[in-house]
Amino acid sequence: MLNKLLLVVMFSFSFALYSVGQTVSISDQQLSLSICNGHEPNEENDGVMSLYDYNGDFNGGKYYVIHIDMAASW
Amino acid sequence: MLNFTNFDDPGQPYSCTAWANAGPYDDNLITEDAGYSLWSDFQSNSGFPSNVFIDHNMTVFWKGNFVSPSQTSLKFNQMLDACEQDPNANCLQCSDCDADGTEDDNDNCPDLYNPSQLDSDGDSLGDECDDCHNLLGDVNDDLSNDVLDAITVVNMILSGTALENQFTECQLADANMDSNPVINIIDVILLINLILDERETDFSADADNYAVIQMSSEGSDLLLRIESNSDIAGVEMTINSDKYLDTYLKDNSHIETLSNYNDDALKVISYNVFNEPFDSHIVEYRIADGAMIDQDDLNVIIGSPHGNEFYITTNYNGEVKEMGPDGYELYDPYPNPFNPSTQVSFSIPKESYVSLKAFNLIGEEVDTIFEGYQIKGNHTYTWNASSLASGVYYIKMLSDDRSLSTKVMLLK
Repeated sequence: MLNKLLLVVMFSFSFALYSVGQTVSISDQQLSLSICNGHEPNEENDGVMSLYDYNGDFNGGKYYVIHIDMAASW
Repeated sequence: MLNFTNFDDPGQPYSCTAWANAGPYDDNLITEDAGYSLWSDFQSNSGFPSNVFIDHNMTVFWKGNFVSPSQTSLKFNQMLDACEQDPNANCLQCSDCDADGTEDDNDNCPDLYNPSQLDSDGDSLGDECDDCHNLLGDVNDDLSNDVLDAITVVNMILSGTALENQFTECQLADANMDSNPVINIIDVILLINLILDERETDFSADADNYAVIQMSSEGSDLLLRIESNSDIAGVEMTINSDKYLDTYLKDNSHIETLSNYNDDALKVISYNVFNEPFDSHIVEYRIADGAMIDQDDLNVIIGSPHGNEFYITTNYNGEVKEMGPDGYELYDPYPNPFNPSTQVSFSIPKESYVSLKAFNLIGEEVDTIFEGYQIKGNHTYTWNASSLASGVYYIKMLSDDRSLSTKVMLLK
């Protein structure tokens, strides 16, 4: 008896472009950003930040509302 | 609230290091996204600048390219309002809001919304931030009824007219055990009963108490002989005088007698911290140098172990005078709103037939709280509305052609 097994594995790399009303995934929240200037309001001092640090479900219940101004340095 | 600027084009003239050396930039946090990952997630129209607002649930609230400072403020407020409506969230608008150097639950207090804290009185203020827990009898607001509260109420009474200057509105409300507007020895007795949890407050248990105070002078002293028809648990005297007078209670070694002189009035209180009654139905006081005091200078309140006020008459050289209220009053029930019971107090200036009933908003009678003859004085009844639906009710008192009403709200 010949058993054939076909295994198809699909890898997909994609960036999510979030629209209004969509919830940011945990993995995207965990994206680390280097801090150039200023201090994080949660008093962390490790030189990097992520949105995940400001998710009240995972930081001990401190919820934040966030504004990100994305700019180029020119 | 997190407000940060993210630079997504690190290849341009100013590097992250260069910006780090540039000093504060509108107090914002400045980050670098060398891989364009953040920009790819949240950019708007593939253009710079791109702005995104993310609410407390990590949900995109708004996206766009240009946003004015006023629009930014508006969107923050909208997100914060939504956060405050979320019972599962704990919104911080600042890290150390009370500037005490410590980030803790007290930092929520400026927001008057503390969902992570226990809220004992259900007023949407967490206990740590709530300066009034609205617990009847908890005068020191430590969320328990104990002897410290009873002592505080005694001090309130002794402080006399200075009451409102020394105690907060919250303390005065918590000390008012029987809902009538005066804090007196009756409140002390009721509070001690509450603390001991030994004697249920049954306002009708000894409603027919009366006492006669025989006043007489002996040399320069005034003698007061109180003869009652039932047990006495507390006595409060207010004596108008231009000086402090020493007051002595005969026998009754288990009864504590305290006094204070303030604003031309001497306040005297006698009670036992366990509400143990006086030795007998005859209680005698000697007031040193008090012979000049007459009936008009003396006001006495006597309470039974159940916290019922005695009907009192004074007799000085054959002149008999009644003590007590001069008019008809129906006081605001307490607590209000309530669930399921509240206390209703009224006063009448003479023995009268009293009808105290509850009505719903369309005028239908829903309960009789008390109906019958009642002696002159202040009287309190507990109305248990556990069988009724939530809503507004009117309590109406009828006595001697006088009609008085007050409104209460039952919240189940």
